[in-house]
Amino acid sequence: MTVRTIYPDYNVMELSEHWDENTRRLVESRLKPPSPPRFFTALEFSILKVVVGRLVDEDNEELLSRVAGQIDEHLLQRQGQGYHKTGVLPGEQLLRLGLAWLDATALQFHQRAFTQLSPWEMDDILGKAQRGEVAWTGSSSKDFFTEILKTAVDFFYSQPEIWSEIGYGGPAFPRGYYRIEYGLKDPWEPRLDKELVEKRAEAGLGPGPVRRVDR
Amino acid sequence: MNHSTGLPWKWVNEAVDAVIVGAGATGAVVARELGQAGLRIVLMEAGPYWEVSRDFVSDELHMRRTAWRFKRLTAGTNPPELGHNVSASGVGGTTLHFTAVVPRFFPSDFRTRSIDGVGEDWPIEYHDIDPYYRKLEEEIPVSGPKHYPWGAFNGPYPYPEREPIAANHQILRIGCEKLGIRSSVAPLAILSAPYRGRPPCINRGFCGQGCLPNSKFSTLIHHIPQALDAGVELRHGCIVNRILCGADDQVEGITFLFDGQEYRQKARVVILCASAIETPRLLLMSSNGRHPQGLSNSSGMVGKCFMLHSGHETVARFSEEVLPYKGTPILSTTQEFYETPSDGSRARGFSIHANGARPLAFMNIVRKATGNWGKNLREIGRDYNYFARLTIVGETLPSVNNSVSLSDQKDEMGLPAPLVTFTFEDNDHKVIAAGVEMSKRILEAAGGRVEFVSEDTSHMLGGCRMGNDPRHSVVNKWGRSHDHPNLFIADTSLFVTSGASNPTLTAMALAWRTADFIKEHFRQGTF
Repeated sequence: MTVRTIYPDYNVMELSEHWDENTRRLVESRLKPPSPPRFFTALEFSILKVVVGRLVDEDNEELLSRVAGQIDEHLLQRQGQGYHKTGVLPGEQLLRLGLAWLDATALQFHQRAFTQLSPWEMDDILGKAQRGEVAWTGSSSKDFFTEILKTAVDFFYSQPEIWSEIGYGGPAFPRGYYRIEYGLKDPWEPRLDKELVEKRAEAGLGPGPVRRVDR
Repeated sequence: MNHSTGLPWKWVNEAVDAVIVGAGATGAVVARELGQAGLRIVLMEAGPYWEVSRDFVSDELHMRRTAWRFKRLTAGTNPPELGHNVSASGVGGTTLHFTAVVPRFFPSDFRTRSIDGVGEDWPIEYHDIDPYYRKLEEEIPVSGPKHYPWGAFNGPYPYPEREPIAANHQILRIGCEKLGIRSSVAPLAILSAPYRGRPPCINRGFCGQGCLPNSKFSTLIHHIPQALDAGVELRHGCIVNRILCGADDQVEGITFLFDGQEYRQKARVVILCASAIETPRLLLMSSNGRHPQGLSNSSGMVGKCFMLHSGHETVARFSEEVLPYKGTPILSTTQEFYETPSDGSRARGFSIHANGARPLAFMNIVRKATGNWGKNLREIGRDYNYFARLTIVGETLPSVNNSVSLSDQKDEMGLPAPLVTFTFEDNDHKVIAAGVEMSKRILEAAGGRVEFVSEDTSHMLGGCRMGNDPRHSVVNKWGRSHDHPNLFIADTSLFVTSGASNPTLTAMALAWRTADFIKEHFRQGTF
């Protein structure tokens, strides 16, 4: 069974009362349910959601809806970085085109919509897209895959529950960090669960046998 | 409000002494210097006038909006990541999100052709900017060690070095110690003790997202207020789209776009501080019948020899938590491999910085290095706290093949989007390979297991290089255009070679020197 986190007692949002107001509001806004998509169509949005879920190995529907909703909002407001390679579509167009092609590829291979595929069928198509093994017109599938993976990582790893999962200490302003040297932690920082670390080690994951947990 | 024009700016219908394009690291220094000399100065800035407590939050994703985000195209074998990686928009420029690592260049950086047989010699030498380094280190001020082992300045720095350093940075120190390599706490424009109402750093690591406590120097909080106090007119949200040039080759001012309208600002001197992409782009966009190749471009060198540092990341897993989110992003460094090694295996070299990481920085390195996704990616994320990162600042040699030019596409303002073409060449690859190899050795010596190496770049430089020969350079050793005597360039575009030090301090020193030259000529009445 997957160990979701080695910091089971840690919730970064419990620290938010110690953050400056602007940062707290921004992070809290990521926990709100998303508005209906305005950049993507309902179909594109439903594909986006399942694709993000496969890319970051997450099946929590509520969390994926928020991530996809925040991506939609970002694209709608043109908050991207503005640059792209010659011969590659700008990010917004690339994502839209690629999502449509994923659906078309699903129909071609399986005679079903992408969202109706089994997880392994989805992964098979995504892997082919990553390796450039599907022929799409208008864009290379590799360029799309790079863009969608980058986008998924950026928005998924900006979610506070994922910060909690990986044991990220968070914004910490105005409080700051003081015990910063090797082996030291401030009292509010995430604490390892030794048993969970060892459980991961049994599955060949993580840092291996615990040498020391929290002095 | 200007009562005679109804526009929100003073002097818009008059000729001012100088107009400066770009209110970033260098433009703010030039503006303060010229303003305090009593000159009438207009400082143009394309982006917003950021307000730290209102606009900045401690969040990686959100703060990417401090990047230059108008359309830009990239090409070449190594098309660079632009945006937040190298550029900024708004008052303060890249000092808003730089890591504030401020080593000086080495004396040999200015003479690579003579010493190493590569690149070009600068028309100036180290001692020409040494006094400006000193003045800047005092005033911004720099926290650094009492003794700095490399280059021509060995300390002491004006403010004490940062102490303690975080685990990621101890790892560099331990690894170097084991290998017999010298390392040092980095010289940083980040406070180790209070200074003029600014508190010392509290080690949150958000230098790249705009520093909320103002412990990190930026021109937004330092030079700009001084410039405004001196009467400089700052116009933000104004995009300069053309330099005006008369039939006598004197420049006459600029035009700029504000809220969809074009306005004109006349000036006796024009100074470009708009970055190694926007400065050449503006010169190219200002072409006219007399200068079809663009202004200041009789050499054909505008936009040529654009450089980026190689910035490859090496990430290793440790058996105990590193907690890479803590501490100023860069706290320790080694510049032991900065110059050409005696075995001649490469020309010039690199610095290695210990570099902490917040989640997006880390996960994107993993993504780029491995292409992993799904369960593989997620499991690595769960070990985030066990990884330490070293980053190189590798010298790249100037090449005419690396360039900024105008594309046939338009940006959001309807102006020709710049095309940035970049390819690492043979020696650049040798520097990268040596830098990554040494990063791996240091991490392994400290007990780590190297898992990811990802290609990256940093710092845009060159494109309007300085030189003594007008046939092969754009400006002279004072930053003065060879073709237009009252047009100056004072940003990183005039770099002749890249060095292997973070360039901001050097760029500001050069800008200050150019400002002194301009001041002196105004004093003598020659403009």
